Amino acid sequence: MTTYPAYSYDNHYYGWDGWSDESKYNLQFSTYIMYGHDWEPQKQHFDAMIGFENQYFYRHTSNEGCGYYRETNTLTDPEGNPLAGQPYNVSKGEWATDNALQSFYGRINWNGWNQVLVTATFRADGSSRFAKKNSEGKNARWGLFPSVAIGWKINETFMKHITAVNDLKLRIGYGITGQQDLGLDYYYIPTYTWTQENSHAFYPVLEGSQGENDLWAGTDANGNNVYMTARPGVYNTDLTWEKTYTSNIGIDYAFLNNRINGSIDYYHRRTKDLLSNVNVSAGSNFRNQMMGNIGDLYNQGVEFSINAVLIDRKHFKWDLGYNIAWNENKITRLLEDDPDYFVSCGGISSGTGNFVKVHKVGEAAGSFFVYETKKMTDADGNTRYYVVDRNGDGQINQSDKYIYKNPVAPVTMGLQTKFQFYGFDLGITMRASIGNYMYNDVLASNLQWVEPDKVYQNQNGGYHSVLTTAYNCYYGDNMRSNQMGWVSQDGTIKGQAVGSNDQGSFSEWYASDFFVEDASFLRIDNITLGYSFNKSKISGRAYVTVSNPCVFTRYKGLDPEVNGGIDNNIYPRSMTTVAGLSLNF
Amino acid sequence: MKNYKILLVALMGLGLTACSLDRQPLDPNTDTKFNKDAVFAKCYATFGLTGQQGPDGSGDLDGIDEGTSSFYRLFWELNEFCSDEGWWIWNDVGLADIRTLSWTSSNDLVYGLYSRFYFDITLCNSFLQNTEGATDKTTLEQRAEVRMLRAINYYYLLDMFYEVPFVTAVSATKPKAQSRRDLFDWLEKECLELADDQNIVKAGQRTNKYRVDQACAWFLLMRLYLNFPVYYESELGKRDGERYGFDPYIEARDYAKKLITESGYKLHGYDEGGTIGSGKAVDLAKERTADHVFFSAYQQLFMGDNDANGAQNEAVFLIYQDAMHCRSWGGARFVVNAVRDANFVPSGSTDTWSCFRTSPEFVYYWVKQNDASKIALNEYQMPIKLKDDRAIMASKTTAGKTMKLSGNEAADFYASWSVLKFNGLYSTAESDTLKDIHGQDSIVQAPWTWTSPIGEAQWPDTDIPLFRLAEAYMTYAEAVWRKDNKNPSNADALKAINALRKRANAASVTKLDEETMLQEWAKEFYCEGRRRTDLIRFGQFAGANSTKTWEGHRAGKDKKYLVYPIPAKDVTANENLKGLNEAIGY
Repeated sequence: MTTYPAYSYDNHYYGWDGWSDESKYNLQFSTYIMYGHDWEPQKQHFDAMIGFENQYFYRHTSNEGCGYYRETNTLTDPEGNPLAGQPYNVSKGEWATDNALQSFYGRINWNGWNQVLVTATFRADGSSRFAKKNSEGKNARWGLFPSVAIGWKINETFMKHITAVNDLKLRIGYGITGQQDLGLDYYYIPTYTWTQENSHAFYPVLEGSQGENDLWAGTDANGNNVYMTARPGVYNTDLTWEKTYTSNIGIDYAFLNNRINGSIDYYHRRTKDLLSNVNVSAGSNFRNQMMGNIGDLYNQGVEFSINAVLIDRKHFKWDLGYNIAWNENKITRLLEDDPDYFVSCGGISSGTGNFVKVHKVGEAAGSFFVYETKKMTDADGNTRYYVVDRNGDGQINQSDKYIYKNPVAPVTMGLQTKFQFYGFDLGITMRASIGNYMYNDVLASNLQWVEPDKVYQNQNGGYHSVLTTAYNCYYGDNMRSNQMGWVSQDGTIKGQAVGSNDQGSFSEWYASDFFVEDASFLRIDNITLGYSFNKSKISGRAYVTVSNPCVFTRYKGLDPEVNGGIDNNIYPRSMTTVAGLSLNF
Repeated sequence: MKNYKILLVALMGLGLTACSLDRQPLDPNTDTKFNKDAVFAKCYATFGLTGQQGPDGSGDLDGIDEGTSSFYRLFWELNEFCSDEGWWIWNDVGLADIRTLSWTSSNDLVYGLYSRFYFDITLCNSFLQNTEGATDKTTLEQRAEVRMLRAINYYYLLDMFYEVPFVTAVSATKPKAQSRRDLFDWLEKECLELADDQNIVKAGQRTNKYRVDQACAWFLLMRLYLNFPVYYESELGKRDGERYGFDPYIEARDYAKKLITESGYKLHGYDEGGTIGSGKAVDLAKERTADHVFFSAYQQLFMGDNDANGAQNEAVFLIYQDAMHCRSWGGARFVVNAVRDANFVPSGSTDTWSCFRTSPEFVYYWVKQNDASKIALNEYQMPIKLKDDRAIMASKTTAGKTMKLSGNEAADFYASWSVLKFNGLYSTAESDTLKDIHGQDSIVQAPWTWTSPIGEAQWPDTDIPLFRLAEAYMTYAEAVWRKDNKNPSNADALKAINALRKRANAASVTKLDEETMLQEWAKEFYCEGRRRTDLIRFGQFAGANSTKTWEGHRAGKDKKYLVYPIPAKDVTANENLKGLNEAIGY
């Protein structure tokens, strides 16, 4: 039987009466001067630009609302005034923030003999989110972001007479870009947060009442005066731009009357002063976590693409495009030199404040950091998953976790093809991602609700429904959240766990590699079938397009493509079908 | 043409100056200036609140549910769930590990508690830094009190952890760890200084019952000395050097005596005589008028008006809670709601969580095992049946059942008795139909002096007496008893313990063995968040010589469970802490 209290927190007899207001505006001032010159005989072009930009972003929200006491209410407030018809549960809030950006920038373009293209840019960006001077007195606010790119059209030079080559261009570039989008303003400034207006967070340790003490906020039923408090907030004076240094070299090509074309690129991107949330060493700041520049990482990769017109007849045409990319990512430096140091990221929904990913030197950014599990059958013939004592110290703790895979695919591919046959056309685009892994948070957070003693919940008013995947995982695969023992590295069962958590089952079962699944996939993005006709009086086209018709994957969740590799109740991509007819008279 | 150029330059100038990058916070809820009084109030508020909104919405900590991040709730849970006093039904994160003594350094509750302590300590450090050099009386007094609050936080760190980071100033430098002995020595010195500090309010002379005075320093010293062998000579090792010429039990006894005789605080409902334990109980029932329910003196300590009904004179440190002004999911609401379901008699809150019931072992301290399952009484009847006002318990449907908390009973709220000492009623409550403990008229609905009928009705006003003078009686008894080689008939010890029993209208005890001592601690202080400490002092929590067992106590002999490990998250963030957990077996 469920018993509801007579009055619940949001039981508003006359409903809730309230409003909220949000206003925002952005200002942008930008000005630049350009200069350009062409030397016709020498076939040279030059232009230059310098400019200045100022941006300002403002946000303000406020809200207010309340319920009302019933007209028949006979209660009075401490001063004896009747409460009937008066507001109760008044909530009131106001919040505002702003930030500004200033940029000086310049660009030079030079194009010589229609063969060589040189572009150099320069930016100096200042962000109000960073301190003018950090704790060492150095600039944290302004970042310098130059770049230079050179293009050489080889086919326009000594190869000009080779007609089979339509395009051959070499590109080389180097540049720096910056990131300041923390989502937080004034983070470098020490601030104090007041007790919120109309809140329930006052404390009675000061003296004086209204008029005598500005912090006075009321008197309670027993005559105690209560006051506002102020809480110092976490701040980081050293916060600065996250910078990415990119070098790349590439070739664009086209042969045989452009029937074959494409490009190949190599890039190396080094990110310095990566912005991330990090645990604060206890006692050194006003919160246990804060935003900081935590370290460096690099990405490097090769991208190749080719497009070909395979058949090109009057009534039959077949185009094919294919691209493949390889990427590698590695953390090269973190705040501490300690090789065991890591920064947690990738929050999950099991428990509170738990993470399954880490940044660790020598590993890919955001690699999964979990316990190893082994599926074993014990002497009684029960098959269960066991957690592995990886460091062999005879117990299971944090140091048994290991780096297991990461959410970023090392290899991605794409394929587009199109047939045209008389009036008919058929186009297909597909995409594949190979070697990306995903933490199945939906499964992990639902699994424990299948446990026999949790299916029925007294305080929640009875039985509740469970996720089918979780049920199958628990009873079919025997991954039992409340029956997880542990084994030594050689696979000897050390800790049996049957029954419940109270009998010593491993309680961090959700942080195990079992839930890190291979999320490689092949997705058909789009199929279009159409028919076009062109008669003397009427022309037109009829077509059917299916977007996202299917995805091939071994991943057990709804969608293998979730940014960040934590699948937590995403809204799945929908499949859409469009049939259309267009006519021209 | 020239005009355009001028315009251009003017525009550029405008753009340059329009939006400076030196933005100042616009949020009306924040300020960049240090407000001494407001931060001082916050230092105290950390004991009764979890953030700036109440009960949640602007929490002090990250990485833990705000409701759970309460000072009181976390230290309470980590001292009670692992003990023989009870179990929580809900499978909140990390709880299972606490109740089965199998926690690790990644336990979320341990991380939450540790983060709470260091948040409070950092706040106190910051207040002390910001008021450095002040000379006015008010500020000097505030500074002394904030030092005391910091000492209370460090005391619990000392009690619950082993080697911990030690920090007395806010700086980006990562703190170094302090050995348990060094922390003990620092705390002792700090409390001795505070006890003699001319700026601290003299014992018993405080004008605000929610602020600490000199007696609080005596109280901490009393605790430090009584537990000296645990803190200084722990089984966990590192016995480097001894302290000679010093008997901790004499010190504990003397501070206990000082608190009883000189502090101005008194046991509620008990008038002390010439020597400790020679006084007599005050019959509060006499003050009862015809239409008021009678609540025993012991019960009045834990009620909605315990800041005004006289019980406040027993509270050396009182945490404020109020339905309108001070709400937290980890204070009064927690202790009143967790232990009840909707079938219990009115508690002064319209909400119930039905998730905490006591261990059968605790019930057997009051009543024989065979009898326990035959009793089905409410919390007004139980003290009469068990002849002890402190037995504020109820058994609902245990009749005929096996009392058990694990297995099939793991989620059964009625599988053992409920402990209901905290409620939100006012002791001036008007009676109606429910029988009170003397069989008189009773109550039908939650009585209030004033409250609104909706919303606020869930929030009890019950303050939390974190330090009660009764502890000085128990400490006095235990110290003289230990000094007398645990002589079971030591008269002074018996008198002190019987003073508490007299106040509770319970028969006197005549013999004091270890088990009786431990049970008396439990009977007086159950559900006040200190059981783990008492069990450890008697060697009965974990470790080589522990013999006591209770349901859920799984790893009894393993001495590492005598303390909680430093959370893995902080070991990762602070390289000074590397290897400390390994050194004690984690």
